[in-house]
Amino acid sequence: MFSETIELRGHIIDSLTLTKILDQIVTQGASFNTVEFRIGQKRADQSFARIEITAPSQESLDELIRRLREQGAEVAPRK
Amino acid sequence: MRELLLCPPNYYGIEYEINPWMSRARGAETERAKSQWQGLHETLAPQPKLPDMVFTANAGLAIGRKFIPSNFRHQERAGEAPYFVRWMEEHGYEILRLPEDLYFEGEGDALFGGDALFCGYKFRSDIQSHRAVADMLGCLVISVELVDPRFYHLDTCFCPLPDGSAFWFPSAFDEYGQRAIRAHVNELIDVDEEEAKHFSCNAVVLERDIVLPTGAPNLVKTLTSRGYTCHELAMSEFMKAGGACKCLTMFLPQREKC
Repeated sequence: MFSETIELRGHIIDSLTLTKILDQIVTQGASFNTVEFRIGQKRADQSFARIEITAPSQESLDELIRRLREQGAEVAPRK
Repeated sequence: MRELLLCPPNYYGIEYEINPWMSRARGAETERAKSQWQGLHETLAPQPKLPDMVFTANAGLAIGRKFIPSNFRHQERAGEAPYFVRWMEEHGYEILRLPEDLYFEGEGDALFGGDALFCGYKFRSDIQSHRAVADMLGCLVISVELVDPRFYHLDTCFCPLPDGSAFWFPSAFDEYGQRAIRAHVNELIDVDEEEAKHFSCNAVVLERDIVLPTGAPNLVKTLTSRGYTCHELAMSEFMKAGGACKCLTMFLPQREKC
């Protein structure tokens, strides 16, 4: 299995960006694990999510990451 | 009092093709375009070789005395940016620049509805620019994906009204964008495809007065029944470039504050 971690910032709950990203991960045959999730407290506060994605092949993972970047996801720096 | 920024169509024309509406084979008639261009409050010196500069909605986004200039996706329009920035600086606006690698096309893709700033992305603006705008302004930004290339800017398919409602062409948005808009707008008036193709959502709303292109009798009837006064204008020459009333204007400012 092949993994990559992405980060999402912004009004990702109100915009349904988080929902869209998780739906895309699952529909593309990958799976996810939420590593970190901080929800904005006030209406204008932004939220943050770090999500580890696992896909059956490097090719499918790369294609998925490419699509998710179009939705605002950033590949997390490797630690 | 809010003012409107417009740019005379002295050099307007179909000189390139950067959206599905544009065809160099179907050029705009200059004199007719000039006669269709009216109602200026503030003017900006037009620049030769920048035919789309008439579409001032894409200059940037003005909030209070702050101005976020656009980073145009197409090189054909990038030359407009310095002229808009200079004009805004000369008129006392503080310029807040986005990172150069983030595309953002101003009020064309950023419209306030209630306390939220709705921002369109994909064809012209990047979703990453929305986060930067939210950081700069400290407001709630609802990012919505546009999926129909005919409606490549948010202001071609979504028009918020002062009472918190809006009219829109739902099919211009993806499923998630539609859901996000429905969740944050208290009442939505659907515009059918035929009227949407006449750029009826590309309207300028001034309290109870709405300036929109001709060709949307059903929408006009609905808005009139809700107490709005509609002013229908011929916009055929500008629609050849994919714009109409709203594209031709930018609010100064769109909001006093977030």
